[in-house]
Amino acid sequence: MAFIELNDVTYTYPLMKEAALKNISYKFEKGKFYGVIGENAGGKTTLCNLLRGLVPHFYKGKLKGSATINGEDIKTIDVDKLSTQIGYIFQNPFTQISGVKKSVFEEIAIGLENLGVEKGEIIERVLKIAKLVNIESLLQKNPNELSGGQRQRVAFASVIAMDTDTFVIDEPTSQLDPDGTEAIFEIIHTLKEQGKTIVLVEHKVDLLAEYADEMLVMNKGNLIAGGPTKEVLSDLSLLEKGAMLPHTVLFNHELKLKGVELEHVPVTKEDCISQLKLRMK
Amino acid sequence: MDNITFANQFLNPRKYGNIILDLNPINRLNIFVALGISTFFVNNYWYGFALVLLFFVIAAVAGRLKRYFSVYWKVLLLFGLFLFVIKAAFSPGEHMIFQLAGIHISTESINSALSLISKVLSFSGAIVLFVQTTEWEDFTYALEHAGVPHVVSFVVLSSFQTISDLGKSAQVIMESQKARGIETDGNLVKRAKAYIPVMGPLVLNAISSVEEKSIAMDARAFSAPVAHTHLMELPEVTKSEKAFVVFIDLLLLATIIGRIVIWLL
Repeated sequence: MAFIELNDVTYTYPLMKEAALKNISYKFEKGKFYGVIGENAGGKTTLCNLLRGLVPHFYKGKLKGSATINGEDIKTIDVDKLSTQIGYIFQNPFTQISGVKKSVFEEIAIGLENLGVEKGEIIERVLKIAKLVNIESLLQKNPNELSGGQRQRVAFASVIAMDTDTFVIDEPTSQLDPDGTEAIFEIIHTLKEQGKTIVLVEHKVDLLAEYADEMLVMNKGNLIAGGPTKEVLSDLSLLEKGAMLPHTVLFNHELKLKGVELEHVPVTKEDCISQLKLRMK
Repeated sequence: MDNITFANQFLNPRKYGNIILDLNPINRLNIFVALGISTFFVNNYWYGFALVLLFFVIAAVAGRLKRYFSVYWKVLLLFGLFLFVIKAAFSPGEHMIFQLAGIHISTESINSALSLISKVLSFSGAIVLFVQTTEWEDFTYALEHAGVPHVVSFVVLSSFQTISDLGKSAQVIMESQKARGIETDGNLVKRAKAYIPVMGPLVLNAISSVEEKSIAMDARAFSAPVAHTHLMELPEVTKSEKAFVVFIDLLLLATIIGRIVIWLL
């Protein structure tokens, strides 16, 4: 049975005429890494809000169709309990900092305090996560005085520290440089290897292609493609619908136009290099 | 300080090593406010001014004299001087000292002005002193420890944080206005012209960020149905501290009863 199951879900925010999500059906399984891409205002963030129960509990509005998390109907689910099961990191790093703590150390500890974790374990986990996210040098700093990128990493660490089974992550690298982005992806990959379920919204499709098991492509509230990463990202027709595809797919297309055929469409750099090597032999 | 040492600080209750700062914040509030309120019942301006001096001494002992004075001088100037001048100049009295147009300064009006400002200054001094000697995080911890719901203590804490955030946001907007060539310095009218248009976006921005902040706290399991723990804790209140607070409260009660008895007689 799927962990999260959406059947013909349509959702409209209060006071809005057009639905933000239209007839979405998809099954999310435990332990898998799902990448979500699509143009701006395509419904990616609303999908995250739905998976986290904020839609319809926090934002209200009209929800049609059926959505279940662990077999429980999302309309009647206990969202407070859900916060202990699904970690949510959202876009804006400036409002993700509580603003009430004087050090990054205490900021990361908030979620653990709320989960009732004992003090000794809180300290252990915060130090471990700070090392993992590479923010050890920030631990004693005031979170309100950090840059956007630093705040984003602190917010990320704060939610990861809670060690929930599932993480819904909405553009966690929007303020980060390429090295910082790569590091975050590696952490997310580590989480996946630990058996966590990941739903990650990102524009950096080349990185998603390397790590995600399945991809969902959103466009104007519709799920226009969904399935195994290789299959979805090989579909060039998605370009016309505003989706970005990995550079390797575009490179393959150019090669094809010049009469060079590869064995299959490469969606990752490694795959592309290995196929080119084979072709050159 | 390395991170391990920093982290291990949380293993023990937070202590400042200062007799004033180490008082439980609720007890500190109780003592200061009781002293501040007592001026209204003692009804002697020498007592009020003595309290004002006492608060300076307490601030010095707490090592917060500079912080205390940096806020309190505005109270002294605004309420102290202004109220004194108005009250002394316009209150009725028989023993006239100075008279010009509508201004009548008399012995009675000066006494009345001194009585009023001693009350205002000592009460506001108590509040300013509490604010300047208290970390809000300690105060909310103490409130929670005393049984106040988690949500209420968070609202108290984040409200104070929002005030300081609003100040910072206003500063950022003013800086960007300045960069666009809009005059933000100068006389009162110029400043008002620059500030008033900023207020709309500032307030709207604050409202929209409240929504996201509440989601952020929800993401940190703020309402999780489990008993919360605390990384930072305050020491247990000692018996002598409890006794001192009770003593102060009894003194206040005696003062109130005394005032009522005098009033009835």
